[in-house]
Amino acid sequence: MSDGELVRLALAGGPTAYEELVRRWAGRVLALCHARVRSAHLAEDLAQESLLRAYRALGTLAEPEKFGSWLRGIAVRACLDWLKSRQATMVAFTSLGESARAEDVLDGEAAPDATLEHDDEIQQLLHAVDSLPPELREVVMLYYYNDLTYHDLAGMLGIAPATVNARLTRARALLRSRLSRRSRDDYR
Amino acid sequence: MNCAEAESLIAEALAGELGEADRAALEEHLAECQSCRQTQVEWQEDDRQLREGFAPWRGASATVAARTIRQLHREQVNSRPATKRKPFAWLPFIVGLSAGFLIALALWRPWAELPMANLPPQAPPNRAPDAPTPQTVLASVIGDVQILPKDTAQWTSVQSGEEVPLGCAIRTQSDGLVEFTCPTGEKARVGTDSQVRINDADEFELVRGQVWAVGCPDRELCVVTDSGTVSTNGGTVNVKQQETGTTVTAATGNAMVRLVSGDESLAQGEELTFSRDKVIHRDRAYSLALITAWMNPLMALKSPDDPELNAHVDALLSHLGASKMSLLSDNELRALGPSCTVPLSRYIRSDEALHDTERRRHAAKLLADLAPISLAGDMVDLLSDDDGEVRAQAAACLKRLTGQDMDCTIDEWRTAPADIRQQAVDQWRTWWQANSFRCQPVPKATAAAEKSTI
Repeated sequence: MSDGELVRLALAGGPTAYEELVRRWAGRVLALCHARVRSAHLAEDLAQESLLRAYRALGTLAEPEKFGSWLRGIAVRACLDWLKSRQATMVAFTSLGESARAEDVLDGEAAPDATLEHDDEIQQLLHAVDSLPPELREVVMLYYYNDLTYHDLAGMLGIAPATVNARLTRARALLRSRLSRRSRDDYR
Repeated sequence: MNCAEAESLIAEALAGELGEADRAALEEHLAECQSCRQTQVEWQEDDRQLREGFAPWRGASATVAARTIRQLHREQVNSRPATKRKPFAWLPFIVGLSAGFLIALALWRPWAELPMANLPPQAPPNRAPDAPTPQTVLASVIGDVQILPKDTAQWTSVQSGEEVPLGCAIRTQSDGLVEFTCPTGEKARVGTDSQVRINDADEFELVRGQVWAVGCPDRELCVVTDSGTVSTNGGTVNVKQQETGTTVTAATGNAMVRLVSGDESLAQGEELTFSRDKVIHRDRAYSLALITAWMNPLMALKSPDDPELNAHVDALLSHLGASKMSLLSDNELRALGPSCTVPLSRYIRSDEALHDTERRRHAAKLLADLAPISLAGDMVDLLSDDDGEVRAQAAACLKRLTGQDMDCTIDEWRTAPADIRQQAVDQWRTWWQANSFRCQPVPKATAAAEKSTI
């Protein structure tokens, strides 16, 4: 059953239709939130919140077939809300430098969950993922969290499959470049 | 084909998206370009490491889905979400309302009634003030404990007696322990280096570490973990997360563990260890008292008459003596400190203990080391015990507490005839009569306050 059919069934009162959508999209929303806030534990909370917000607002979805990209918008909003609330409780950003943003505050927390479970090389790679530009980080996270096809990624991000490949290509090149630079620095 | 185009095709190939025609073109380029061959090897290795690196996180999708669905159920998922209204659906209603209004006007002609100014003012309705939302109470806090209310980003330290809202997270550091009670009576104790979220009065989420959860009669209590959900109807469960898996012990009553692979039921006293989707180990718990020994500092805060404390001491006592768990139980009893001494003293004087010499002597040894001055009267009574070893330990305790021995050595208490010991017994009784008023137990709250002012 397609996403559009499940949405219509949920709106018609089908008791498990939205649950099926949750199972289908939880991984993608989780990856997206992780890309935004760069914390796996926090991403789980925000992913849950996004899925619940989507359920409560399901009646406002004009095109059920576009559930994925609509859900992505809700998840982005949930992450931004969290980042804003965090920003409100932080010490003035002037202490962090002129270019400081809420997302940058999380640099110190980048990939904390990776430390115990991964060896050094993988840890460096995950840190490099965290430091990618947001739109590249997002597509990498979505891809490796869920093993999605280009078609699925494109649908969720609202871009063409060729653009998905272009971003992944650029991301791979950047990751390799940063890892190589780090290896040279370590060697020195 | 240039190298930039080749890189794009290499990326497509890694994703399994490369068409046959492009594959042939790429292979032709790679045959002649060593740089792109190097790129392909490096990206393949990066791809392998990224898949490995993301593996631990990938499993979290199922957890998020399970938690979300559970929350949906709580929000009555079976009720219909807000539906789109059809255009002008309100029109028939308005027409009907208008018709009724016109009919009412025709029948009652309100313009003929008294002017509004002559009507007495309407008294405001009596309303009871809004009842405060019941909160969860932190009954006991030891060490470094913090909370994070829902929708906030700042952890704050807490102390005993504070109230916290449902939905908040609680975390403990390496020296932290906390016991909390929910508005409807469910309670829990959280271990060191742990984090729990109080999703609802009947649902706790164990993020990491260990939790002891006590349900209310005829109500289901759930403990959610990333591997499965534990539930009990009026019982008590201990849930501990470790690297090797999550272990659930049904301490009182039965429990149910819901896994992806199916449900596992636990009878009282059984324990189950599981990981994300499978059961690892299942057995009877050897000693509930030892499994929950981590709670001893919280138990030590309770009154000596507290039923749970007494039951806990009794359980540890049962392991003393010949049991292979004797040493462990001894350590745990000592960790309870003076809190365990009233139950120990009660045990020594019970009929049950008379049939277990070894255990009785062990309990007497513990009293010799732990009993506070408020139990001096009990120790004086034990100076007349039939067992020489118990007499000796009681004398050792009184020596520790008062510095006096009434001219009777420990060996004499152990082996001397009764007539030799009687003079010392009489002296101790006289001492107790004269000094008992100074030896009353200090309430724990007062002791804590006095300690804090030092």
